[in-house]
Amino acid sequence: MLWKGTIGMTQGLIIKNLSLYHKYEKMTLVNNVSLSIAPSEIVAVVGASGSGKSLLAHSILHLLPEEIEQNCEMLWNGETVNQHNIPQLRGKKIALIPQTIDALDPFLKVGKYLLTLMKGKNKQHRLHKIWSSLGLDIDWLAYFPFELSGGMARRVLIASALVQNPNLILADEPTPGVDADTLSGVLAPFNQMKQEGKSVLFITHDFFAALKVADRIAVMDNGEIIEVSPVSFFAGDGEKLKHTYTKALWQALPQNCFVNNWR
Amino acid sequence: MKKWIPIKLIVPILLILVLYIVAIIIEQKELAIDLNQKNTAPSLTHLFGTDWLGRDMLIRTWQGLSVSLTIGIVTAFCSTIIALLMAVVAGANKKFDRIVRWMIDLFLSLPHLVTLLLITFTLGGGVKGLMIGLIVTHWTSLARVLRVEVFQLNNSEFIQASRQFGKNYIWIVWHHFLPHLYPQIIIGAILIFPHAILHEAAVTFLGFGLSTDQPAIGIILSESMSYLSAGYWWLAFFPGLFLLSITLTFQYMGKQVHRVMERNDRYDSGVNN
Amino acid sequence: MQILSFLLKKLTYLVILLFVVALITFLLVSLSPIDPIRAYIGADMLQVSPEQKEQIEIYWGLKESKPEQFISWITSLLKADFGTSLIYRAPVSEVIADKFFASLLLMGIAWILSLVGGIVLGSIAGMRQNGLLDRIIQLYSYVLVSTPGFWFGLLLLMIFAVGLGIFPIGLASPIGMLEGNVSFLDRLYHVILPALTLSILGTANIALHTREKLIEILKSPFILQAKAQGLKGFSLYKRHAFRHTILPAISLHFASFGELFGGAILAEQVFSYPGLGQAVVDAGLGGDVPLLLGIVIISAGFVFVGNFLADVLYKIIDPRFRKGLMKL
Ligand SMILES: Nc1ncnc2c1ncn2[C@@H]1O[C@H](COP(=O)(O)OP(=O)(O)OP(=O)(O)O)[C@@H](O)[C@H]1O
Ligand SMILES: [Mg+2]
Repeated sequence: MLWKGTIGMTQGLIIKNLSLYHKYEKMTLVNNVSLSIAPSEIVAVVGASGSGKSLLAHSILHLLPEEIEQNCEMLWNGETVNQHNIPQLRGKKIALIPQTIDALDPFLKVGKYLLTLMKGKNKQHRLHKIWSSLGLDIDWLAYFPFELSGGMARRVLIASALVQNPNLILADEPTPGVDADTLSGVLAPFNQMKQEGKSVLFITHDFFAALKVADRIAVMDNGEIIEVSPVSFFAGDGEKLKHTYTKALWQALPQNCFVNNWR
Repeated sequence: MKKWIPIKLIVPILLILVLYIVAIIIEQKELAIDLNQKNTAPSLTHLFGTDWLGRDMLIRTWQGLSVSLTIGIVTAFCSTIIALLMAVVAGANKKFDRIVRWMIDLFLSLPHLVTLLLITFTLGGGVKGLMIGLIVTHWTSLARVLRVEVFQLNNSEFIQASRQFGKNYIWIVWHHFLPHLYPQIIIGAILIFPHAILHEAAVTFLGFGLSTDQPAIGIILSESMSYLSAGYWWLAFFPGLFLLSITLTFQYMGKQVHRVMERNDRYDSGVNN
Repeated sequence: MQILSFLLKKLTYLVILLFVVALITFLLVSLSPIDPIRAYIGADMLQVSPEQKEQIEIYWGLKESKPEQFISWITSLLKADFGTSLIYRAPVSEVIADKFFASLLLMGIAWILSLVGGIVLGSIAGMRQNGLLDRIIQLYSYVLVSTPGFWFGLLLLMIFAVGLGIFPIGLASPIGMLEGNVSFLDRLYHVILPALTLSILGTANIALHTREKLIEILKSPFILQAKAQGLKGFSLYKRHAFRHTILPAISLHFASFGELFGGAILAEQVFSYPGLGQAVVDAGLGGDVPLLLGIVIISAGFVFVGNFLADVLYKIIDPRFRKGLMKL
């Protein structure tokens, strides 16, 4: 159950022994991380700030800066992924929802930006559908990024990943500061993708959101994945969880505070 | 801590030094006039050819170089001092800062060459006029850099602390600003050099600077204009190439110094951490 | 409203600037050892009687005190009267207007060519950072930046005019033809070589600047995201980097009108192209103070216009400013 489908899995993404090394600072940033994501699966990655979550997402797309050396074996639908074939996968098969809203080109109206990403017929119609499913107003398509609120910009970024209809989305903190009520609205596209047999790597600080949407949860700490557990393990006192860090995370959730009131 | 000086920096410095020393030595030498050797193309005896009086162009060019280098050194030195003074004055208070900014803007409001021509013109040309013109027009870009640096230093915590200990501005300038600014100052001074030399040659070429009896590359080049249609290409080609290699060497030197400073800087902060 | 106050501020600045430039220039010239009468009369100095000399002094207002001279000069400047040129024996404003057109043609062509060339080279270098092409372009630019511009002009002159004989050796119009009879094509023919000199020299700075900017922009989050979307190479450049790179390049290019002017002075000298640059040299060498002062003032205005356009450009292209302005 823990490594659901990893052995002999041909669909989805497999990362084996990912290590990232900073050439100039002579420092290992990510150490020996392995993870798989199957079709119709949402895997959440949680961990403290600076634990290497964004690095993990960027290394999947081979988008790390030149000073960081990347070593790993990566398979996409059974085929090795490397520097040469990743450009064909980027965006079209594996899309990224970036963590920062600076990722929108300040000189481009968001609607125009999204349209240029799309291929095929009926662009306008498809765009409008995605746009309104995210609760965005049609008028906002004519906005420049600086005219958007933080939450609006974030949803535009989600839309930018969805428009190319990828099979895997790497969502790097798509939901910061979203309150519990609107959360399900923002998470809806991910559930929708899961229905369609696609997968999501859901990177978040928000443990609560992770529990709500994910099938499995990977916990990162200090550049390593210390635990990967199905959501069902996060129950009760957390006795099924392997790692003390994970247990502490689970017990620190507000609804569990009464269980363990060390606070 | 050990500072690191690479061969890439030593080579251009040595090159300039040797060129300069040789130039000073041969400067006094009266050039033989040999009318049988008029306007000869470059050959093994005359690498750069000869001019209309049969003088060797290599020696003439080299002699011109000594003037150029001297002017370059003086200009770079004096302009750097002015730039530093301006930056320090600007750092004293807001009012002075405004004045310095206005001065810089004023100097940048005219084409550099026009300012130079105007000043050398009003000073009646010659070495003195040219020199003053060069000095008072080459400080602006370095002053701009230093002004910003001083501004940032002024706002830094340790300077604020110094102030609170009652240290006066001069003391702070001497003990804090100079040690921080010196990399910028050195690089700035080196980079003023090629500018000054090129401007010197240009102004002289236009007829405003050095007089025709002085050995100067600007003079050589403007003289060569009369012989171009006759096809005496070497009169212009080699002297200019010589000048170009000098300015290139200085550009290169500036770049290398920049790298050394950056590297030592990184090394220093590494030690401190 | 915002536009108006912006323009008003710039205009005030221009007026103060021109006044200060005029004042300083005047002071400089007053302090100089040049004797304007001697310059005016030239070689005939010995044949002029003291009475005639005095008349000339009165005519030029040289009997007045320095402040009076300055005030009368400034007031006539305000009436666009720059005085009479000693060497051309014509109103300075006319001389300048005539020469300015020739210079403008030269500088305009050079400005556009060097901008386009610089952006193309800089963009190629930046997109291929540390590649072979990048190294070649960088070397080319560094060499050109250190090249004496007038010497480069001489080289082109030797190669194309003397050696190959494709271009004329000098003069904006063929000898023996009146200024007015010169056809536009003729002018164009004479302007090509000096313009080419200035353009080639000008590309270097723009190329280096563009390269630097592009490399900086390629590190920004939206470029990373564009790559994550599968863009690369030219389409990445075209869609997300192009506008961000040309903006600072054009702005810098506007802000370097001063260097362009300086380059034109030298190029005009080398190619005997009768523009403002040659006029300022003649004025200086011939002691033609009114013309010199006139050109100094005009060149200050020219540099100001460049800086102004550089400033405005950002406000037009950047949507943040544009929207702000439209809402007014
Ligand atoms: N380009 C880089 N150069 C040097 N160090 C880097 C670089 N990028 C990331 N790091 C370091 O790697 C570590 C992990 O960074 P990463 O961005 O993956 O954290 P994160 O888990 O996404 O944190 P957050 O939740 O705050 O986004 C951090 O300590 C960071 O300082
Ligand atoms: Mg992150």
